Amino acid sequence: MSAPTLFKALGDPLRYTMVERLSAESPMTVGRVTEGLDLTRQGARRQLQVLVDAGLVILEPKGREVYARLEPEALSAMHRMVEELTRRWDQRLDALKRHLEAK
Amino acid sequence: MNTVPDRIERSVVIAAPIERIFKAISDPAEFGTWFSDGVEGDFEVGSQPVIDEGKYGRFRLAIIANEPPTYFAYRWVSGTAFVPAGFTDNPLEHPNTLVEFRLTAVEGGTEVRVVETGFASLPESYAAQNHEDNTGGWEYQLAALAKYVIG
Repeated sequence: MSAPTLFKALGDPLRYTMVERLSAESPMTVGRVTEGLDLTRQGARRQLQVLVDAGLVILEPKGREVYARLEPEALSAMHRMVEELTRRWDQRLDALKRHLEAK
Repeated sequence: MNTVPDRIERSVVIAAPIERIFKAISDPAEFGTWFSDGVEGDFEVGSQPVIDEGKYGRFRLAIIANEPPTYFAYRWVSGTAFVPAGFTDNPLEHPNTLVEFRLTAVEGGTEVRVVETGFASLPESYAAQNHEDNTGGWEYQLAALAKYVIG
């Protein structure tokens, strides 16, 4: 499981929609996660499986339903990555400020 | 913390006139001193200059807007875990992020606001380009990224 794998898994509008739904409410039945998407039932499961393989989503059978749950560690790893990039922007803006205020 | 991160927004107030700051951002020669170690090409809309970020690699920008003195924007495939050695292909032919500089005159100088968006839609293609699968998991990847970012 790596940050590139995660972002790769999200690099598809349908999968991104599924993750957005799950970030609003988790766990959620697989049926609701994939509801209304332009996919066959099998296609939906295949896309969901990409998210499972990337470690973003965990599937849990409960009774007759299968629930999908977001893996919080995956999200926090992505947040950490974006935080590092944020720090890089702070460094750049600081360099701009020093460049302009030096003289 | 519960949503997919897609956006970075940072700002700074600099004690200089807006036109002066806009020039520092939109003039390749000047950009090549504070942001990068040089720029090849120009910053006209539609141009694709290459900036040299030294140890981080070389990156091709696609200039989207250059509207003095308030707005400058480009797209690129930037320094993430995806492209550890830089990225000089045409960014518009790949999933990319949009970087926007917005300048506003404020008391005491000019506010420079940077927004970078599009992380959540990155990318099928770079993961494939990313060197061998890393087997150390999160921490390995993040340590490499932290090293890359912080230097």
